[in-house]
Amino acid sequence: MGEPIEIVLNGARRRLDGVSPAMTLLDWLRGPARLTGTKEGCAEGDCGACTVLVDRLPVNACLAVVGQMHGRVIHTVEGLRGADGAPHPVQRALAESDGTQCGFCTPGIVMSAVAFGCGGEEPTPETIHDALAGNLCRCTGYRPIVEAVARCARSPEPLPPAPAVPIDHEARTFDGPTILHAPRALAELLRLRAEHPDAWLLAGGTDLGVRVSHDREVPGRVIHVVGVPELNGLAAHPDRIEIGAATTYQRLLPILTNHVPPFAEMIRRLGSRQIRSMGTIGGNLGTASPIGDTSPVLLALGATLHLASIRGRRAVAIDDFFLGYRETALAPDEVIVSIDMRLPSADEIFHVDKVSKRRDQDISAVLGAYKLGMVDGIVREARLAYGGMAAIPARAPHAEATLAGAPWTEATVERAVAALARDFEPLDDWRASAEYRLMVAGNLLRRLYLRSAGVAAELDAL
Amino acid sequence: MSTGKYKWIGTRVDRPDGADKVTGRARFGADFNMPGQLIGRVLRSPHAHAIIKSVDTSAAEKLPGVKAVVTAKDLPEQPNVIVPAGEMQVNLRDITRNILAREKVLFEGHPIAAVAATTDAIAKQAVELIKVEYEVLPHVIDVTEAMKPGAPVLHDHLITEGVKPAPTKASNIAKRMDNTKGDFEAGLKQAEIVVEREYTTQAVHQGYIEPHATLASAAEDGQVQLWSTTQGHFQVRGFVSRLLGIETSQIRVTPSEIGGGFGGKTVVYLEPIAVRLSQKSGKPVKMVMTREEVFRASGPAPGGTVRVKLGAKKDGTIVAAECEIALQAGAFPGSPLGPACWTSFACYDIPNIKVVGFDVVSNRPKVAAYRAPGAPISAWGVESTLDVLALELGMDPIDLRLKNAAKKGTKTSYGPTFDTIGFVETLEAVKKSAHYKTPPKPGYARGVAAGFWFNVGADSSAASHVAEDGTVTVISGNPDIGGSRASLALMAAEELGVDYSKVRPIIADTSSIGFNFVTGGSRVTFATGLAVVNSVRDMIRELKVRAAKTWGVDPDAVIWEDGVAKPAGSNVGEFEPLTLSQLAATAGKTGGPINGHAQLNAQGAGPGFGVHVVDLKVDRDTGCVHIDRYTAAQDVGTAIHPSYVEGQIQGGAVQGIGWALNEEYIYNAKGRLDNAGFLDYRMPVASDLPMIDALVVEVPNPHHPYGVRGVGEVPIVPPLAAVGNAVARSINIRMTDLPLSPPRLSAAIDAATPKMAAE
Ligand SMILES: Cc1cc2nc3c(=O)[nH]c(=O)nc-3n(C[C@H](O)[C@H](O)[C@H](O)COP(=O)(O)OP(=O)(O)OC[C@H]3O[C@@H](n4cnc5c(N)ncnc54)[C@H](O)[C@@H]3O)c2cc1C
Ligand code: FES
Ligand code: FES
Repeated sequence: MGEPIEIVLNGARRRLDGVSPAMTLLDWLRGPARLTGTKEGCAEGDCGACTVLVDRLPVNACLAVVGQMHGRVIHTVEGLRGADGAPHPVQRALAESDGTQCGFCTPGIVMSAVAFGCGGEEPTPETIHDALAGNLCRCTGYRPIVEAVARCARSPEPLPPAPAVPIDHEARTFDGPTILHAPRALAELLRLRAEHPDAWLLAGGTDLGVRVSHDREVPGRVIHVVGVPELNGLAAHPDRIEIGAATTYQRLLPILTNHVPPFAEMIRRLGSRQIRSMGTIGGNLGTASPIGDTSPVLLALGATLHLASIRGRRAVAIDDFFLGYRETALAPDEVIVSIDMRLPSADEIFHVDKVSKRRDQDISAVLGAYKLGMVDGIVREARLAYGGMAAIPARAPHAEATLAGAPWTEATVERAVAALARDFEPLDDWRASAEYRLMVAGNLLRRLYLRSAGVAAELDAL
Repeated sequence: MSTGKYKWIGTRVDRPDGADKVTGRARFGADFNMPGQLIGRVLRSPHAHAIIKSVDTSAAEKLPGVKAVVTAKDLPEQPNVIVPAGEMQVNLRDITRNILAREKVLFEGHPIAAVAATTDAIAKQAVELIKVEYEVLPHVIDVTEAMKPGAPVLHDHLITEGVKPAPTKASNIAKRMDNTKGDFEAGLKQAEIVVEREYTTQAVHQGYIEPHATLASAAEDGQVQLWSTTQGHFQVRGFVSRLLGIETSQIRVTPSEIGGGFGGKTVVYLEPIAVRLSQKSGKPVKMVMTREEVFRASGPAPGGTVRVKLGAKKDGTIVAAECEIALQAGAFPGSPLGPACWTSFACYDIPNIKVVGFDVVSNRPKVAAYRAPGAPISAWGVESTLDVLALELGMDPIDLRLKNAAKKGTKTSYGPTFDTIGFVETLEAVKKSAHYKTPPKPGYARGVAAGFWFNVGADSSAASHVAEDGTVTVISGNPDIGGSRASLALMAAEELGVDYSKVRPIIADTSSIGFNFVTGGSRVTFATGLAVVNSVRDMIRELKVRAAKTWGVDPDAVIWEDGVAKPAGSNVGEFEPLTLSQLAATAGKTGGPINGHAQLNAQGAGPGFGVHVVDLKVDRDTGCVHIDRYTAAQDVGTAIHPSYVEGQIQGGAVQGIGWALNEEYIYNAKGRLDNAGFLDYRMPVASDLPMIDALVVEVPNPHHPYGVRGVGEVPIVPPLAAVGNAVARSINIRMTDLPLSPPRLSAAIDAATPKMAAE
């Protein structure tokens, strides 16, 4: 026991001796590492002032715990340099375009912009907005920042190189006040899970990290699942995709973009890039939030979840997974291994809508996912699934029944809209009232019809 | 360069703080640490309104690692005296209770006690061990509710000020304010058209990304050092001195870089507590608020209600105007009621005006200043109603405003008569702009609104020093929240005739420069700028004395031009000009160091006007708003550093857009804030906004050597109504309640849509 956590920080190997694996990366950087350039604005993943690069991807340091960081390559604002030792081009561009006023958001913006540059994307207003969605700036109104990023995105300077000897990726256990296990094989994960049903099962930590960072909870034991290869598979077949539970949104996006564009469009609006670098689809299902964004999509597509425990494996239809408010079919000793998702076929109408106050980095008021099997203008099969409409992500049986077998017409859609009111008693809270959620769900169904009839193309601009 | 008149003023030089900020070297409030420091944490009320029956800290004190605990008992009682605090006023008796509750808790999040411990975890645990016995009282959150007879009364001694005869019973109405010009009732009789509407706004937070933070170190000999993120370290010193009974000169406050303030960091919350904890423990104490604490317990801007009535002639001439405003002050009296009332009709030359305002307490955190405090709220009412009038008259909204625009010589409802102002020029600039001349894209609608802010002068001190090598340090005492260091250095370079790179602007701590009033009211570039200019002039006077000594002539025979001393004329004698470096090099022989000083109470701040234009569309299915184009025009006097002027305008406009569309404090039935975090307090992100165009208009302020007016506050005034007016023109529904969030817009659209039968 007592193995040290090792990371590569700004190009140099660092051992984190005597540090609890459940300390947040941000607390470690600002405290023991004395790197106060990385800022804390919220401690819950919303502001981006704490953005650092982990393996060249932007990450909220406030949500990551150091035990998760073993073996990873981390860059902070202090580690950036241009070729000649002068500030990095991104730093210079921000200073010169007056993209910094008070400067508190600036280190985080710098890191998001460097990540954007490293990704080699075309700098367009859309891609830049996307790259900045996880960074709040209250001073500038963003214009000079967007301009600076546009200017320097094409000339990313190399980051400090990683040291020659990489850190090994053997299974490990770190201890401090918290014990963190990082298994590297499924059998080991399942054994640990069976032994410690009360331990936190940690994937990306974008949900659990909030409890550490914001709520200041100290878990007794954590099992970090992302090192297990079986949870990291990602394979596209002609009619379906198999996704390991520990697949991050960032890894998932390209394959979804190729095979299920409406799903990809929604994922692009799930959290921010910082959240998508770490957050996993398994974590989204594990949290089982009524407003978790992937669940309705998986419900509409009729996905199958593969679960495992030391007792064996089983497949559970997503329809049978959500049992009650944040309650799932997972047994205490079970983990989600993978998700098997059937792709919509050419004769099916498939669409996903995410409605929130802001376009980016916002919790959904309503998430609607729809799959309609069509034959000669008749709805053969309908799967309508929603988030934000009930205590669990759920399908709309009455509305589906109204559609099934009926011609796909305005009148049918109006009947289905009316049926939605019988299907749901939506959440009613400060994010959105029950009436609003129901009204929007209805409007979106109408819009689905208009869109399929080719009328609503311009509506999609929003 | 804006006018070509100046060498440095109007140029876009690099900011002196830029490199530190982009590299992460800049030190903000929470970046200061001292060896052996303790961490302080605050216990806060879970109730909106309750009597504190007892506070038992014994278990917390016994916890290993806890070094000090303070409650209100550790702060002396204060007199019922009003003192200025930034752009607002505070009562000392109230402020000590806001910092640590005494008899009662008055809002959720109200501090009750604080602990200092060796680690944050121990401090947190200790806070949880403090036992408080409450008697929970009925609470009231909403202003209108709080004004009703029979509402729960927050303060038993609060008798409404400004009402004659004075009421005999306590209420939640702290003050009534009346301000009139002409005769409103008589004026209204001449009107050919009358429009009237009532509006509401919700409390919004300044939303600075850096939470409040402080580090206090009290020594055995009574000296106190404080590092703090604040808009006014002299103010922090003043409050700590008064609230703790420490002599002012014993306290030294050093401001950190400030991660945004917008008015919200003109108030003290943590500092007196941290100092007391440090005194009790004998150790330095660091305190940093969590984001949740910032939302629950640091000043938001008020919400309120506004009723506006306008009477006009058919040609658009407004003959009578009335505005009634009620603002939430939070738990203690003192909303920005005065500015809300005074700014309401300041843009317009109207013969008959009647403004009535009410300052109302309720069980919410005490409000603090937020960019042009009060003005956006009255402008939301007035500028929306003007749009109603424009639509009813079928007049272009800019033309309607031009018809009634205030000019030099217009007498305001609150007293002063305007000197040279640039409202007409700003309206004209918008009218001529490419944006206004192009119709909105198909599906989009356009809204227009104007705004006003006085801008402020007040007390400033500055010093200028020539170093041995002829470079210059300019020292002032205002934390830089909007690029003021660069502006001060530009003015010093211009005045002195030296290169900008030779001038280093420094913000001194409270013991190293004379008093400076807070950074607020858009006063720094104007007032502290004036002090800097005067200190440089004082230094130039000394430089001329030294040149005169070198040449053996009378100082009056020396002039200072383009950075060198020259003989005033050929009759003085033939001398080679002396540069700053030459004079600095020989200073030891000519009389010692060369410095300049200035102190002043700046008068003649130039009012600022802004006009904003927005094109947007409303998604009728979801209520989401998409902004396509936004132009913010403003008379800035002189743009000392055009980029920072634009930055202020863009940033202010975006805060206003957030206020208009999504930001609000949402309370539940228990009087607790439901959305105390950035997750649910929705500030704009990059994708919510177009590239905001700042249209800079320059009508110099005659009362400043370089024509400076304030810039920072005006831009938050117009957006609320500009957005509202565009929404009204987009969906044909006049929205009167902010924010125009998707649920609210959807509900309004739904209510206005004839119901389609489902069958
Ligand atoms: C700022 C911010 C924005 C966000 N925005 C969105 C959003 O727009 N939409 C949205 O849906 N969510 C959002 N989230 C929530 C979160 O990012 C997602 O739910 C994410 O998918 C969680 O994945 P994770 O890997 O980070 O989960 P973790 O925090 O690691 O785990 C979450 C839960 O899942 C369990 N779990 C993880 N892996 C497994 C497994 N293999 N088997 C069984 N249980 C498992 C964990 O035990 C835990 O209970 C946001 C979060 C933040 C902080
Ligand atoms: S501190 Fe705000 S996102 Fe991490
Ligand atoms: S510059 Fe102040 S928050 Fe971005």
